[in-house]
Order: sequence, then structure tokens, then C-alpha cells
Amino acid sequence: MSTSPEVLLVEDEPDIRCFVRDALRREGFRVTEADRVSTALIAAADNHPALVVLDLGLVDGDGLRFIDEFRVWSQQPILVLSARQGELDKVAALDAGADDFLSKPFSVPELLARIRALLRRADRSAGTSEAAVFRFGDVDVDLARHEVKRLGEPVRLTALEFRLLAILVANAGKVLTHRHLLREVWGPEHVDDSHYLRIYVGHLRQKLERDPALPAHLLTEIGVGYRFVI
Amino acid sequence: MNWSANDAPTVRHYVTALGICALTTALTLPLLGLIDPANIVLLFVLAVVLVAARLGRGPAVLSSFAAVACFDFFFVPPRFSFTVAHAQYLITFSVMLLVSLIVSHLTDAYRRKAFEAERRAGESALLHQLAGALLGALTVEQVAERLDEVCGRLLAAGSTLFIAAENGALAHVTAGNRHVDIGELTTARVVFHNRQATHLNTDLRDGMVTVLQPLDGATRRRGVLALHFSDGDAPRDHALLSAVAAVVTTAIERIHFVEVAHASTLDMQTERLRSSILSALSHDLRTPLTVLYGLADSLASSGRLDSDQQATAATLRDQSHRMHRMVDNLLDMARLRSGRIVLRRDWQSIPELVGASVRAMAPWLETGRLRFDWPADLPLVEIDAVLMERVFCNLLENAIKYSPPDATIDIGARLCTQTAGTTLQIRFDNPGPGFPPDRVDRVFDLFERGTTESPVPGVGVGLAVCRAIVAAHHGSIAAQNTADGARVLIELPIGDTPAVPAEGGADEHLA
Repeated sequence: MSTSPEVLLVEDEPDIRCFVRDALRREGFRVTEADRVSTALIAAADNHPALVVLDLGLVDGDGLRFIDEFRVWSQQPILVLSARQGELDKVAALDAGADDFLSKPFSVPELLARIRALLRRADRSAGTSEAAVFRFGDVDVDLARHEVKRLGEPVRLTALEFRLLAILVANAGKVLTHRHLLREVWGPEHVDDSHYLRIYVGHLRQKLERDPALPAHLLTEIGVGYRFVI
Repeated sequence: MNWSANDAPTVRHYVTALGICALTTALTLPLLGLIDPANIVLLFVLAVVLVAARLGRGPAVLSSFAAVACFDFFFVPPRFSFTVAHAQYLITFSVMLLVSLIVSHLTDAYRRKAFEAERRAGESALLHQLAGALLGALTVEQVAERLDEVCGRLLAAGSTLFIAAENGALAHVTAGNRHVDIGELTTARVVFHNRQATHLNTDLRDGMVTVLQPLDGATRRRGVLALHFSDGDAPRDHALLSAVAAVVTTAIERIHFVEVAHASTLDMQTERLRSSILSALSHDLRTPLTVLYGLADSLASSGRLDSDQQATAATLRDQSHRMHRMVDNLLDMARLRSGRIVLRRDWQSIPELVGASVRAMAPWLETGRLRFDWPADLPLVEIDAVLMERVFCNLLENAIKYSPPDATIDIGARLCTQTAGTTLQIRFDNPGPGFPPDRVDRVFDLFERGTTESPVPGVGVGLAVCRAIVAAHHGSIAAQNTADGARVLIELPIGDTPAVPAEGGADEHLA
């Protein structure tokens, strides 16, 4: 299968669908379009897309329904498009199984970059061995050996800092919600203690980012969670 | 209504009682000799029973004695004398008197009971008719009208309703064209503000008696009911008036609560309409802007345009994004103004939020122009991150707009300990002309801009939104001019920052 990857584009505004489709085609993707949840589910079953771009506000129902049904049989990445204000919708979509989101209006290069990152990640996790060594900025992380180096020098991380970093790095390109991170790192009884995250993310930025005030890798998605960009 | 059962017998009644005895004597005299004296005694007892039934106990007692006297004087030998020939007549007199007294007592008791029953029937008829009449009343005016009609028909009384407004002011609602003078209103006010239940007021001028009864509702006193009787008709029993007042109060409260329910339904509908207009507006404005921005961005990043066309596409893209931010500001302002915005507060780090805001503004900002001053021990603050990001983006946009292209924008924070408590102070400094000195205090007003005819775009919503958001967080925002430019200061109250459990040094990871 050396053909270009198939992208399913679910959007009910024809004009938005049109320019996104053109941008995706220019980038070499094959594009299937759908304007409602029902047709999108059929198109997904027929074409087995490598990635889904999904508008959350569809006419015939919530995009969440699509995510729920799609996730039953496919683990291919879903990128959600939504309005700026819909923080709760974004969190709900991510909890349901979406991988990333873009707020409207979005920049086309940004959309393409996100799609490439998600496809790379999907390829990686589909590969035979889970990658254990990551490099970003000045930092090398070896998850298997619990090693973190910055400019070749070892960096001291606490156990929780390392666990947080490991989850973020392993899910690079994906948005992880506050509750997800808190559950994974601190345990299910701490899912509402978001202040833990603020403090530990601050520590990681101080230790790993070139400019902690303007982080380039450990990014804040306001009201939603964190995204790690390699 | 006949209240005579309670009335004391008048002299006329006693005279009538004596008259009946005389009449009995006159009618019986011709029969003397034809019938037995024992039957004559029975006729006299019958007369006493009649007197008791018609005239009450006092006249009946009088007629008992009179009957015995008449019988003795006219019928018992020796006639026309009170002397009695046979001692057996003493027994006759005693028994006759006793029987007359007992019979008159019993008759009177039954008569009173009959009157009482009639009165109660009348009262319940009044209350029943009143309740029925008020059931259909939809306004307080209708209550007054129907009350007046029922009272006029069944109580022979006029009525005035005084209704208290929400602030306690008393206003009268009268049926027809009854005149309410200031004295009456004053008396009603006294009754309304007194805790006492009933107040009787006699108006001497035209012989009317006014009874005032407070209308005590479930939650508060709703007003005062005044009933006007002609002298003599006024009831002494105020239980009935209390019952009338209770029926009227129920009607008034029902109308009040219907109005309250109606108003809240209306309120809810208005609110629902407002929010559905806002979301429709937001969708209808954002969709074309998203398309515009996306198309311009595709064009600008396609790499197939010459440099002039490229610049035009970039301008299109930037302007449509700016328009989008403006729409966001206007919609946020509308939402904040409606006063129904719910803050989603969470513990946030200000440096982290400012960093994320800078990233959102990154395409329009050379990040090298920014200088941050974040103390290491800055506490978290409990704020709505999405709204506060809007504040920071607006301040960044302003700082870019109103400063020279290469000037450094200074952003920092510090803790301020004052007598009122500790606050977190956030500072945005940008070099440039600063705010116009005469309008520094007004730059946060809606649609107020530093310069009225400035070449720099913007409609002055940005800073107004900032103030509304900061105010919703119980903070303050102020504009100042520094030596070389403009400064905006935000102060946010510091809560009890939750503790983060420390990790022991032992489980530190050594690389």
C-alpha cells in the first residue's frame, strides 16, 4: 500500500470543507467528504481513512457520536475542529477518543502540521516496537532507561516529574486533558487537583525548555490540557 | 341580615307581652262557665309560649306572671279580686307559673338556636359566594369589584381595598366611584403597620361605621380591607370579617403569585432568546470569517504568488483574523453584560497563561520583543483561564498596536501586600505615546479609544472586555502613563493556594 493516505473530512459548512479539501489534496492526501454524522460513519466504514478531520457542530447531531462509534472499531487519529469557546466540548471530544483539536479560525499550515504529526504518531505506534528514545530541543529522553539529558548533561527529575514527562513524550502530538494526566500520574483520586499539574509542568519547563516563559515543546492548551510537540 | 336574636328586648316588647295577656283575658272571658277553668289555664300558657317565641325571654317571664294574675283576678272566684277562695288554686297558680316559665325558657332557647343557625347559614353563603366570585378574578381591581358586589348584596356594606406595594406603600383599589379621603387612608396605614387584628372606626359625619381588617398573607401583610356599614348594621362578631379577609387575601396572593410566575417565565424566555441570538450570531459571523481566513491563508502559504500578491494575501489573512478577534470580543462583551456568565475557575499559573496567550498571538508578534519578569515564588490564582487568556491577548494586541515596531514590551507580576489583603499584580508595559492624559481613566469604557481618529484599527471593545472579565474575578484593572509609554496594571485577589504534597528527595530520578 504505497498510495497516499486517505483523510475523511466531516464538516457541514461547504466553504470550509472546500478550502480544507483543497489544502489536503495539495499536500498529497486523498480526501473523502461528509457533511453529517450518518454519512461520515458510512464513509469511514467504506474507506478506512488514515485520519479523520471532524467538525464538532454538525447539523444532524453531535460529532461526539461519530467519535464514539468510530472508536469502537478504529484507532486511527481524529482531529477535531471547534469554536474557541467550546472548552467543555473539546474536553468531551478528547475524552471520547479524539486526539487533537484546532479552534476556528485555524491556519492551514497549522492544520497540515497537526495532521502530519498525528499520522507520524499513528505510524510509530503501529510499528513493531514502541520508540523509547526521544529528542526535542536540547533534550534527550530515554524512557526505557529513565534517562533525561540536556545538552548532554543529566537532568535531575523527581519520580512524578519523570512520569509526567514520559506520558507527555510518549503521546507527542496528542492533546492530553488535565483529568487524563492527573489520573495517569497521580491516580484517580486526584483528577480534580489541577494545581498539581500547574506546578509540575512549571518545573519541567524550568528544567527542559530553552525559554520557560515561552515553551516550545510542552504547550498549554488553555482550559483543556497539554500537548507535547517534538 | 337579621341580627335581632342578639338584641335586648325593648320596652315595646314588654308592652306587647302585657297586651297579649290582656287580649287572651278578653277573648276567654265570654267562655267562662262554658269551659272548665283548667282549659282556660292552658289557653294562658299558650299565650305565654307565643310571647316567648316572638318576643324573647324577658317579655315571656313578664307575661307568665301577668297570665297568673289575670287568671286569678278574672276567672278564680271570688272574681275581680286577688283573694282566693280555695287553697287548691294556689297549686294551680304555682304549676301554671312554673310551666309558663319553663316553656318560655325552652321556647326562647330554641328561638335563639334558630337565629344562630340562620346567621351561620348566611355567613357561609356569604363566604361561599365571595370565594366563588373571587375565583375568576384576574386582577386586584376585579377582586375589589366583586368583593364590593357580594358585600353590598349580603352584608349591606360597602368595601374599600387597600393594597400594599412591594415597598410597603399602601394604595386603595375601590369599586365604582367611592371616594377615599386622606383620613381613611391614614387609618388604613395605621392598621396596616400595627400588629393588631381589627380596627373599628366610626365616621360620625354620615353615621357610617367602618371596620378595617388587615389582610395577612402567607409571607407578608398584603393590605387592609375596609367594610363600611350604616350605623346599627355593623356586626359585633369579627370572626366573619376575618374569614372574609382570609378569602380576599387568598385571591390577592393567587394573583400576586401568578404575576410572579409569569414574570419569571418571561425572564427565562428573554434569557433563552438572548443566548440563542448570541450563539446564532456567533456561528453566522464566525463561519464566513473562518472561510475568509482559511482561503487567504491557503493563498498566502501556497507559494504560487508573486511577492505583491503574497503580501495582499497575507494582509487579507491578518485582517480577517483581526476581525475574528473583534467579533470574539463583542460577543464576549455581550455575554458578560448579560450578567449570566459563569466563571470556570481553576488554579492557574499566570506566567503559563501569558505564555499560552503569546503563542495564540504569535503570528502577529515578534516574540523577541517580549521581556518577562516572573518571580520564582509566584502563587497560583483561581481564575477562569479561557476568559483571562482573552484579557492577556487583548492587552498584548494593544501593546503591539500602540508601540513602535521594535520596542520591547515588558510583562511582569509581583505580590502586593496591603492592609486589605494580598493581591497578585500583573503589569503590561509598552513604550510609545501612552494613553491620552485627559482620558486615562476612561480607556476601559466601552467604545472609548485613546485617540478618536487614530489610524490604528480597533473599536475600543478590547479594554472594556478586559475590565469586565477582571471585575468578574473581583479584581481591578488600571491604566497609567509611565515615563516612556503606557502601563496596564491588573490586580487579582489571592485565595488560599492549595498545597502540593512535596516529594521526598529519596525517589528523585538521577539520570
